[in-house]
Amino acid sequence: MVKQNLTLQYLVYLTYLAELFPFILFLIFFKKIKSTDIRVFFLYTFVLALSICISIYLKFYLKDGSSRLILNRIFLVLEFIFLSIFYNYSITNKYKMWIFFPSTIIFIILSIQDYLVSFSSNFSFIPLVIECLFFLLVIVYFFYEKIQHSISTPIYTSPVFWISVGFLIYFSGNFFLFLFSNSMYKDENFKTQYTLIYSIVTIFKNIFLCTAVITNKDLVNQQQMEAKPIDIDLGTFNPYNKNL
Amino acid sequence: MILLQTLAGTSSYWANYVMLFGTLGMVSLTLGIVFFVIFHQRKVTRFNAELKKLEDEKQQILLNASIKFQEEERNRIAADLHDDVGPLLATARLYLNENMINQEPAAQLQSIFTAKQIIDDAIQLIRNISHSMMPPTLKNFGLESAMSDLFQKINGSGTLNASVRFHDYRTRLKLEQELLIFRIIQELVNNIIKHSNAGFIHLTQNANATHSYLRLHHDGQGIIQTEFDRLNHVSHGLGLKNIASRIKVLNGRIFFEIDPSHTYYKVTIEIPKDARF
Repeated sequence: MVKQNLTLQYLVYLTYLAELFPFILFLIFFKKIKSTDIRVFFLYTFVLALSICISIYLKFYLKDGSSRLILNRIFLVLEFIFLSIFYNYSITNKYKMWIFFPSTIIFIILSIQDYLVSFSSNFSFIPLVIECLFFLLVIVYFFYEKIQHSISTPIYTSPVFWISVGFLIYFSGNFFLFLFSNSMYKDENFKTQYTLIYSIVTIFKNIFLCTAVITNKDLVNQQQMEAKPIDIDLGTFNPYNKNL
Repeated sequence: MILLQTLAGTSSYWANYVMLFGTLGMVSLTLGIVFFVIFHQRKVTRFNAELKKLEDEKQQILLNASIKFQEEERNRIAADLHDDVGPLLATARLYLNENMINQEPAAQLQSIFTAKQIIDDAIQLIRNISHSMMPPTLKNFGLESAMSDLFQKINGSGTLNASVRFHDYRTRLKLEQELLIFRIIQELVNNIIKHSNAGFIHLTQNANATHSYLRLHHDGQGIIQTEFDRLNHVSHGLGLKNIASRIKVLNGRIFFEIDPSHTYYKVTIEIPKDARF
């Protein structure tokens, strides 16, 4: 039992570390952030890293559980906003603004209402499930849109694809956890299962987000290479010059 | 969702199972979607690449045909100049040699007269070569007149009944466009005369706000669109490829059809009026 708890503890530390990795990678390849959607995503990773740092501070130094739950609620709203903006740039449908803008407003209102109605120390169950469902649908639509358009380059060379895969796995993997979290959060067995599944899914999500950062770097490098002007003085070309 | 919540409230054992398998199911579904998207995309990309390759091959065949045609045209002009005009001028030179001074005045006059006739023939030959390159009627009076001219000549032979009718050609197309259309019609008419054993050829023209249309009718043995596309892709034969490449330059379209009663064939050419060169 102690060994199991220790393993879970290590898994949680690993998850914290994994949550920081996309932001660290972005800082390393900071100059490669060129497009607006990737800029938005960079801000998301920054907010994620910041919330993780505050969460660690609250958990290990202040040992304040209720503040951590409030922080989770705030992060949830910010995550919804950033992901909405991100997919607003990534999806090409002309009615996207009519979906993302009202949804974000409704989600913010709902989160505030959920906070006011439930006790502050409670797990934010309803906003979590709504966020999961909403973004699962958005990502599936995003893939549907990608299938519709015929492109010459494979989809996996785009960072948006890897970000979507990461979030698809994160939201689908955690959907049942969030759904049961309200009624079973006090159950010890559930807590273990929750930590295990949440950690594994989150680590996978962050691996995919890191892949997206690296893919973005490669894509920008390739675009820069293609945009380079031909630097050859054709006027002085001499076919007999062996040094050429 | 309510059912699952109720389940979670009643039995934590079952709820744990539902959660575990639900999560596994959701992740499997997600992975299924992702793999489907990737494989579908790969399939589409491969198909597009294949299509592009075919298009490139077709372009290459058309380009080769066009280069070959140009070379053949140059060879023909060179042969005409070398075999016809060259000997004529050489003969005229013979008549006008230095010994002419020692000849009788009557013989001198005869030589000059013969040389003049030979030079006139040479001029006529050069004019014919030049006209075959750019018909003067087309340059000066436009496509309608050039077509009438061509069809009158065909009609004059007596073997084929040829007629032309232009319905709406108030504004002339650009000279380059007219020349390309003229060459296309010339090639089509040549093919009809050579291969179709037709009794009549009729050319009609009409236009709307954006396009100009030309249609050739004939009652011989013709080809339909599928056959044209097939012949266009084989490596031998230049005529149809030249037609296709000229149509491409004109940014137009060509349709080979047979009428429903199977009595005559139709070739329709559609050319946009504002095609850029």
